[in-house]
Amino acid sequence: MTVVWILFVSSVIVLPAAALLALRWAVRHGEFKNLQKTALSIFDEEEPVGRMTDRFPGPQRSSKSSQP
Amino acid sequence: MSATSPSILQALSPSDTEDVAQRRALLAEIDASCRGTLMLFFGAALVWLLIGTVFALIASWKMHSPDFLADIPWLTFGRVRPAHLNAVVFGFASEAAIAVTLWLICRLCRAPLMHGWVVNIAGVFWNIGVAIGIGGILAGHSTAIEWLEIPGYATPLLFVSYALIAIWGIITFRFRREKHLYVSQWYLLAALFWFPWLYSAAQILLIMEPVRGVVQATVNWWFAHNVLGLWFTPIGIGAIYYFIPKVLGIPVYKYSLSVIGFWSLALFYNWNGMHHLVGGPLPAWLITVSIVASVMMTIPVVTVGLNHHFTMWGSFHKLKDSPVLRFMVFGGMSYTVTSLHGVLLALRSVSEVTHFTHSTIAHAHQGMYAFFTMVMFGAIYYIVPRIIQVEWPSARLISIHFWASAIGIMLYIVPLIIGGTLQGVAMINPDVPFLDPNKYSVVTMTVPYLRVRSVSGFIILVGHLAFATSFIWIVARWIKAARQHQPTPIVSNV
Amino acid sequence: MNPDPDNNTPAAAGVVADLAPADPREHIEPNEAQRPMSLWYVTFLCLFFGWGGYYVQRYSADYGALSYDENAGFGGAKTNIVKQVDPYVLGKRLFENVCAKCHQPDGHGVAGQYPPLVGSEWALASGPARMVRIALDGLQGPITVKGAGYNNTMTPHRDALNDQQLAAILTYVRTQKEWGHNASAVAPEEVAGIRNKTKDRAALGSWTAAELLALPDHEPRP
Repeated sequence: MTVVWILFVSSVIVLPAAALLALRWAVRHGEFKNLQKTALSIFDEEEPVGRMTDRFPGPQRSSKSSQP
Repeated sequence: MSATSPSILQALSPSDTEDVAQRRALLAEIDASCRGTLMLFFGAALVWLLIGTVFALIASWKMHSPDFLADIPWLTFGRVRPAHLNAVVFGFASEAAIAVTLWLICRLCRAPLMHGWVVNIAGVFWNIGVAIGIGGILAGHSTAIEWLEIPGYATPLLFVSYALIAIWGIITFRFRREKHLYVSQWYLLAALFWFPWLYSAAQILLIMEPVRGVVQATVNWWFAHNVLGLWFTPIGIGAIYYFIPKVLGIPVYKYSLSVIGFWSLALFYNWNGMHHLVGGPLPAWLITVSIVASVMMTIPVVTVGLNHHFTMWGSFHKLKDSPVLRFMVFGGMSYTVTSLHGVLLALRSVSEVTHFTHSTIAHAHQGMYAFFTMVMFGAIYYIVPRIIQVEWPSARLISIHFWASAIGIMLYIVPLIIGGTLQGVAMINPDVPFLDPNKYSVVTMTVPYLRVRSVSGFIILVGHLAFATSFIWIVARWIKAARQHQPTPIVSNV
Repeated sequence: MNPDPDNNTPAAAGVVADLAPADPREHIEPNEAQRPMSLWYVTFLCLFFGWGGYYVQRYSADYGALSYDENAGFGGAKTNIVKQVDPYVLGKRLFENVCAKCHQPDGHGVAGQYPPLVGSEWALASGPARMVRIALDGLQGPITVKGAGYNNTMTPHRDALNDQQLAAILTYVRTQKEWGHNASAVAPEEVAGIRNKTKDRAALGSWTAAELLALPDHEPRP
C-alpha cells in the first residue's frame, strides 16, 4: 500500500506543483512576452520567412544543386 | 548544406556573414550529432511498423473469417491483436516519437545531442524490450490489461531505456543556446515528463500492486487514453507546430493562441479516460467530470486547429509540391476531426450507443494513424535527408506512400464508424438478435464493414512497403556516399 | 514550384547579405497588437466553461461514492441517491456466493454435515432474531434441524456482510418460492438493531443452539 500512497501524493501534489512551477518560471522568464518574435524563432538567415523548405525530390532539383 | 560553404562565405564577406556562417556550421553540427541515433530509431520504427501492419492484417482478417490461422496458438486473435497494438504503439509510434522529439529539441534549442551513444544504447535496449514483450505476448504471457499487455519481465527494460532517453532530451534542453522556448518545446518536454508518470503509475496500480474492482478499470482507461493524449498527441501537435510554418516559410497564424492551447491540454486531457465507463458501476460524478473534461478538450483542439489551419490558409496549392506538407496537413486536419468526434463520443447519450462497438476502434485509429502516424511520416521525410545529407531517391514512392496511407485510413475509418454506430443501434434494440445467420443480427450486420477494413489494411500495407523501399534505398545511397567520402548532390537549404 | 532565390551559392548569399540587409523577415517584425484576441474566441471560452460548470453540478449526484445515478441529487431529490435494489435478487446472488458452499444451491445442505435450510424450523421461525444472530456471529456445537442432529461450526459474517446484504440473504432464504417458503421478510434495520445489541458477542465466540433457544424469535423493540 505504501507505494500506492507515494503514487497518490506524487500525482496529486507533485505533478500539479511542477506544472505551476513551470508556469511561474515561464512567466518570470518572459516566455509569454513578445510572442510574435518567438513565432519567428524557427526561421533564420539560412531559412528565412517566405521560403519553402521542402519539396518532392526530382529532376528540377538537381539542376539547382549546390554541387560545384 | 555542404560542409565547405561556411568557410567560403567567410572568405567572401567575413563581416556580414559571420553570423550566417556560424549558424550554418552549428546547424550542420546539430544534424550530424543526431545522425546515428535518429537513423537507428527510424529504422527500428520502420521494422516495427511493418511487423505491426502484418499483425493488424491477420487480426482484421480473423474478424470476418474466424477460421483463418485459428489452429496456431501463437496466432490466435487474443494474441495477435495485442501484438499488433504493442508493435505499433511501443515499437513504431514511440520510437518515431522519440526520434522526432530529440531532433526537434536539438534544432529548437540550437544545441547538438551530446554523447549520442548513450541514447543509441537505450534505443537498442528499448527494441530488445519491445521484442521480448511481443514474443511474450505471442507465447501467451500477456498481462491481459489493455495497452499494458507486455509481460512483466520486459517492462523494466523499457522503463530504464526510456528514462535514459528522456534524461538525454532534458540534458540537451538544459544546454540550449536558444533561450526563448518555441511552442513545440513545451509540448515535447511535457510529453517527456508525462509518459513515465503514466507508465509507472499504471504499472504499479495494475500489475505490481493491483487495485481491485472498478478502480482497476478506471486506472486502465486513464492510462490507455492518456498514452494517446499526453504522450502521442503533444508530440504530434508539437511537430505540426514546427513543420507547417517551417515548410511553408510562414510564421504561425497567431502564436499567442498556442499558449492557451498547450496549457488547456495540460489541464483537461488527464481527466478524459473515464468517459469510456459511461454506464459502468462508477460513482456518477467521476464519469460526469470526465465527460466535462472531454468536452472542454474542444478548447485546446479548436485553438490548435485555428493555428494550424490558418497558417495553412491560402497555401493549399503548395501541397502539390511538398510531401512533408501533405502528411502534416493531413495529420493536422485529422487531429481536429478526430478530437471533435471524440468530444461527441464522450457524451452519455452517444456513448450509450457507440461504445463497445467497432466505432471505438475506428476512432482510436483515427487518432493514432490518421493524425499521429501521418505526422510522424511527414517528419521522417523532412528529417532524414537533412541528417544524412542524401535526398529521397523517388518522388513516386513518396506519392504512393501518401496516397495509399491516406486513402487506406479513410477507407478504414469512415465505414467502420458508420458500421459501428449501426452496430450500437442494433445492440440496444432488444428485437435484434445477437447472432442469427438468417436475419439482421448484431454479429452478421458488421461483417461487410469488417471486410472493408481488411481491404483498407492491404492498401495501407502497400503504402508502408513503398515507405520501406524508399527508406532502404536512401540508406543504401547514404552508405554508398559514405564509402566514396563525397556527399550525394543535394539542394543545400532544404 | 517557383524557383528559389538562388542564394545557395556562397556568392549569392553574400550579395543578399550585403545589399539587402532588410532581409524578408524584417518585414514581419513583431507587432503584438497585430491581431488582438477576438471577441468570438473569448465568447467561445466562456460558453464552454459555463457549460462545464453547469454539467458537473447537474450530473454529479452530490459527489456520493455510492451514487451511480447521474440524475439523482439535483434540485432537492437528494434522498433517493442510492438505487433501490430488490432484496430477493440481491439475496439470491449473495446466497449463491456465500451460503451455497455449505448449505448447497438447492438449500438442502449435506446430510450429517451441513443442516438444510429448506423447511428448517430455524429458518422459518416466526421472527428472524435467531437467524440474524447465527449469520452475524456463527454457530458451534450440537444442533437439531428437522429432527436430525448436526455438530459442526458455521463461520461468522459480522465483518464480511453489511446490514443490507444480511437482510437480503435472510429474506431470500425465508421467502424462497421454489422451496415453498413464505415467512416474513427481514429488514436491514432489524439486522442493524441486533448487530448493535450483540456487538460484544464476537469476543465470546460463536453461538450455541442452547443459547439461541433461550432467546425469543422476535427481537423485542427497544
